Amino acid sequence: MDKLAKITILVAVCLLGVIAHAEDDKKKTGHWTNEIGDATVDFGGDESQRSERRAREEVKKISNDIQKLKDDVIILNKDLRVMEERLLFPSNTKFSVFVSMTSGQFFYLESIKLKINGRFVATHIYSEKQQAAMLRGGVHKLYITNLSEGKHDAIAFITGIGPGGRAYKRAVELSFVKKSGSQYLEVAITDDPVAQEPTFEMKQW
Amino acid sequence: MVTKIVVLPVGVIKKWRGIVGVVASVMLVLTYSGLAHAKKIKSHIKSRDQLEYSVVFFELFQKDYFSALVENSYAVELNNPLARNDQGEVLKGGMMLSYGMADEAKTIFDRLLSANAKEEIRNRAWYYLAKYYYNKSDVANAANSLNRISGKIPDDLHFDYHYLATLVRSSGNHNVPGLKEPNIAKLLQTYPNYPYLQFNNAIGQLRKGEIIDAVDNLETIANYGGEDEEFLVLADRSKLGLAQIAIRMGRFDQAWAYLQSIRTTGLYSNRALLSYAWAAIKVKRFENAVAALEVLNERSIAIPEVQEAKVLLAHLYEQEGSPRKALKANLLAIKDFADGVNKVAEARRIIDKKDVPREFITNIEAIMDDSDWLSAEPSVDYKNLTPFLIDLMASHPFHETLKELADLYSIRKNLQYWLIQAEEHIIVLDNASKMAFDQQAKALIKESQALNSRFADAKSELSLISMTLSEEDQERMDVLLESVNSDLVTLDEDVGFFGELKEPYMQPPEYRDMVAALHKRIRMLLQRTELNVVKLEPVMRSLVKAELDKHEERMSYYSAQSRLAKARLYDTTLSTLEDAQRAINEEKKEANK
Repeated sequence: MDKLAKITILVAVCLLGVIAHAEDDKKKTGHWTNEIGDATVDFGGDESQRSERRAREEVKKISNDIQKLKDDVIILNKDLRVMEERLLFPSNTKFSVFVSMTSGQFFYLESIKLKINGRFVATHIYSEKQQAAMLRGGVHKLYITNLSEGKHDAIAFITGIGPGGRAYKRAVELSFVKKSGSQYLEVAITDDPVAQEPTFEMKQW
Repeated sequence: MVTKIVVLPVGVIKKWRGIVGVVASVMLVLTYSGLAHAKKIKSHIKSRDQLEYSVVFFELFQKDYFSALVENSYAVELNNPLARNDQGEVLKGGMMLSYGMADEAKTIFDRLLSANAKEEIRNRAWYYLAKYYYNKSDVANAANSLNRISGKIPDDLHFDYHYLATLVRSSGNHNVPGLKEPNIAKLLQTYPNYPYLQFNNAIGQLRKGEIIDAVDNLETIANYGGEDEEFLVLADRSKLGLAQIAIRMGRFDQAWAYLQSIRTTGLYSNRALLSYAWAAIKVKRFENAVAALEVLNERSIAIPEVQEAKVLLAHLYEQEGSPRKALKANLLAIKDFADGVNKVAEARRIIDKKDVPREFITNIEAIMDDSDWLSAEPSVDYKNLTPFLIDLMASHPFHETLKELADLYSIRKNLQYWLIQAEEHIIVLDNASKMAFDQQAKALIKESQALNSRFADAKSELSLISMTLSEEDQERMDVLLESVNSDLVTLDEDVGFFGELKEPYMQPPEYRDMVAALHKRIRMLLQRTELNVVKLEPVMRSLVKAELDKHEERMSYYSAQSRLAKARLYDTTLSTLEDAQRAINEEKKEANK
């Protein structure tokens, strides 16, 4: 749940509830503390309500504009991305590398480095949020490049924490043939329940 | 194609974070089976389309709805079937709803529901529709939509469904075939956020007059023994609620016991301390009331409970027969209220500054974390502004305004990024148009071919020489030759590839127009964004100012009360002195007689 929303609900319920009880108590009993029963005073209440009403109306009025704007910006982002890929990565040579994680019982992914044809081309450090998103089925697009048709080598160096809190550093290598057209490579991190170890593989799609 | 694992030396041992076990239990949206029985677990990715589309989940599960929607739109553009089917559509609707594109999201859900989609899709659509209505404060329609859900609910929505049901007072009974109600309750208890659901249930029970059940639920939450700050806050909130119930039933001792166990730091501490003081007064434990009020008295004047405590404390001193302490407390309160009113003026000045709304929103997380409701000061300029806005955070219109403004600022940042990229697009286009196979390039390819052939000859010679060496030296030489051979093969391929090319890749001429049109759209959308920002920032400012007015009015009122009390105490002291003087004079007269 969104943090701000939670705090908002918490504060609202608390204040409404407890102020109400303080008022009730003071009204019910004839205690001397009634002399300072200020909780019944609605400080700036009218102006506050008016300003909230105005805010609601104003937000409602421009809400449609903002929704349309959001839609247009999403489409523009997509179009710009498609355009950039056309400019930089023509479909015949386009090659993308993805990282997936399945199960994740024996491995906490921290970082990955990618070497293609002997050159380090990409590196990424995973945040907790990204790691959690991958465990729920999300796939990270690590790298996109141009590769000519023919033989190539890719090595991924994966670091993280394995069973028992042991530091893990593994490399997985794949020699592959790039054919014509856009191609994908998946660096798959899975588990081996028998060996109680994580496993690392590369697959060309 | 060969895959091999190379084992490298193990690095520094790091701390195991314990997250894997918890998160691993969360479901994968795209189904993959055979996890339990397979010797080695296979990747859940079963197709190229799935690999491509799952990037949407990567963004979605980080709650970055904007990026997720862009990825989704990109997948649609690539004709990815997973983005275009009903499952993809309903997910897109859910993301739109979360990103504040409620109207378009509703259109998607209505379309899916009228198209008679399968049960899982329908249930998702009804759930999101209920959320849509709930966000619009239309509880009746939200409950109606939730009640349309039947049968199995997708695992990832199950808890959220029951949580929403408690908020809209729906029964939350979706008639799962083969699963009885107690089992559902047991299942729900396994979710980490279950205490929130339990709290909502308790509130529902209170409304229905089921006090015993409500107290039971609240006590379970109040007895939380972990260290998670969120649940500790919820436990404090439950204790406050329990105290409230006890007070209403006239059980002040019980209420006092609940209030005693609330932490004296944290979100609920101010309200708890004030309630504690009131409850102590009810049970005539004035010294306890004074102790609680003295703790509050040390906190920021911006907190309404602190303002009330100052007046109450002075009054208690007066009642316990300590007029000097009461007088001092009133004098200090008057000074504090004057300081508070000055701070409100300062806060008004800050909110009028140009970039404050943006900075406020950008740093809101930090502000909420740093200002720990105990007047700890955040490190930013608007430290004088923030404490006065804690109550305002609970206001729905303020929250909505902040959310829309936050989205607009993010959009502005995104478009500004693309404006910078636009310059690079032009550079790429210009460079691409200059590319050609000139004489120099052709000569270079020819030279490379000659060099390649010389290398091949040299390699053959080296092979022959190696045969004349001792066996040990031959082995060492072979390793070198193998490495050279691999490089030569690559070079051979490259030289062959370039040799066959007639001309380099040329971008189609229409690209330049396409790029220009996109750049124009960036500028237009940036203008629209600015226009909306200009409309919304004054709304935020007016809400903040109304809140500040409220603070000023309250502090002026309390200040007047303290001044009255001070005057009364001075009067009493004077009249006591006069009485004493009169008594002394009379005694003297008597003595003189």
